[in-house]
Amino acid sequence: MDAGAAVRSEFKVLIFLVLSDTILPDIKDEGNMNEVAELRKLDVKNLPPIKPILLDDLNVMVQKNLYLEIGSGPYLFLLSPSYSILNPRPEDDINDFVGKNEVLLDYLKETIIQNLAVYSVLIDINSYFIEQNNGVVLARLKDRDSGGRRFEIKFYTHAAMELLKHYEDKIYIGRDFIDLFNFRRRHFGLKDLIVSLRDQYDDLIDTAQQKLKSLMEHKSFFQEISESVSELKAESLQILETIPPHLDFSKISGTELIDINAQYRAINHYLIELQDEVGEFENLLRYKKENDFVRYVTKYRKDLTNLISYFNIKINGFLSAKIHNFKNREK
Amino acid sequence: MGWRLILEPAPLKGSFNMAVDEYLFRAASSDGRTYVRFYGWQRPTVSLGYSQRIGDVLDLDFCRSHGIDIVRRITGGKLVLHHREVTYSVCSAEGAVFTSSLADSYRLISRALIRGLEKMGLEASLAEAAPASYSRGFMPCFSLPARDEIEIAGRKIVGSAQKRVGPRFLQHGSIPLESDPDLLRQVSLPKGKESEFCLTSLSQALGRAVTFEWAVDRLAAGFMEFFGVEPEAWNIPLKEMSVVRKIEESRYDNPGWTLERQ
Repeated sequence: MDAGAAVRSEFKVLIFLVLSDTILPDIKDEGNMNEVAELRKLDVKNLPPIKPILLDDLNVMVQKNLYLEIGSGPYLFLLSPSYSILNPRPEDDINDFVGKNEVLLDYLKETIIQNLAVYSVLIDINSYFIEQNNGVVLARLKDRDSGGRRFEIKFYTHAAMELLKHYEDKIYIGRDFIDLFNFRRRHFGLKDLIVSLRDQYDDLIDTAQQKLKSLMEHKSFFQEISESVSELKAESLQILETIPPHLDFSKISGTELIDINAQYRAINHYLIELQDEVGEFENLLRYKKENDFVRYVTKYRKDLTNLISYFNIKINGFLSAKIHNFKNREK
Repeated sequence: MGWRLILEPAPLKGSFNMAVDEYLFRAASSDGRTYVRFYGWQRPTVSLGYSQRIGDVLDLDFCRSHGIDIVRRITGGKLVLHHREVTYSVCSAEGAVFTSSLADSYRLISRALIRGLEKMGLEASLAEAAPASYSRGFMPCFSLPARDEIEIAGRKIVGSAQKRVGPRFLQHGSIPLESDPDLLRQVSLPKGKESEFCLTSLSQALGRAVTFEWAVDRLAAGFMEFFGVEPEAWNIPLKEMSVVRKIEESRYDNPGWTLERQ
């Protein structure tokens, strides 16, 4: 989709807003969100310059159609690609923030896209849905107690025309962790992604207590998955401690690279085992019609699938290709 | 496959010790044997974990001005001050014995070492999890016992680290004959109140001085008894020493490897 099409797509959404009285109900989060306040602390002049990279068409399309969701107090504000505040109703504070910080928001979006392109496979493996939705992707930011430096971002896609009418129908794509001051990630950014799986699982147990009809009936699954998540985290962090955080292919030998590839593969194997257990639990929940809860398990499994794909494509796949360029093991 | 036991009769240079461990780590994958080695250190030597940033954890000026050697391990973990101690290393690719998990093999080796400590008349146990602040922070290896490390009366007696590539692993660890918390405090960063160490030594735990040979005899016997093996006493063949020297030169004696970390 070209820039003109993106603008037209957004224009249609705005027309819908103007013509319809049924503007979405305010999206409220139970917690007190502070992304706007944290972003306000940043001055674009102090942020590191973004090095341009060549993006493919799909990434460019997403960049042009990227919506941001940022929280302030009890509200999660949805900003269109040109920073119109679509939901909830604009307030002075968010109007003031957006009005004064368009350059910062541009910077933020550019960083998000570059991180997606280099350090994830979320766009690639969800390309079908994203293209069906004309490149519309929502990026929901959550500050990580870092003064606006680091964010966890959840990504969704949605049909542009239906976005405001059926916001709840958005499709979860996955999540990423960005650091505005440090683009280059140690160990492909795996530490954040793996630690997050433990945190998410703890959240899943909290949700189960509220949503699951019979928690005790599934005790053995929770126990088994919990042990697997703990093992994944402990083993992975120890393995990462013995892998170079950044790989300099001009200095590394073929033998070393083979070892490193095997070490990353070992982490991936823990993920595959965990995904298998979570998938089994998900099937059982569907069979027992635990519909209120199963979607959270599905989302968790989606994160596992994403990470396994990340390993297969951007880590082990990438390293294997590099290994094949060596003529022999010792070189 | 057979097990081989290497008892180093004399203390060795830190960089050479690390090169031998790496040589055995490589050998374990090619010949399928398990290597167990006990050794000492010629002079006080700080070893850094593979990923540790020197400026975060080590007072380099103090080490240089006091003749303390510095090496970087290929294993993970934290800073260790090797001084009057017994160091062990285990290299193996025997998945049937050590399983494929880092934690499982770690626990298994810890239990074998406990058997050795029992032969000295000591009652040691595996530690529960350390506080999260320890694993996150820069505190040296002997600050607190981490999960499955060996402690005596709540004080850490063995500090170990492991590198694993598939089924093949190297685990080495340090068992102080005598502890020197003052020297450890002086070489470590950050300075301050975090530098309170919860460590002990064989001499302290036994209430008398012990020699390297006495301790190694019991540790080796306990180790082999635990695994139910009769190892072959072994030394690296002379013709292979050039390989060890090459590893030492390119890596452990190379400031680029030891001091510069991304």
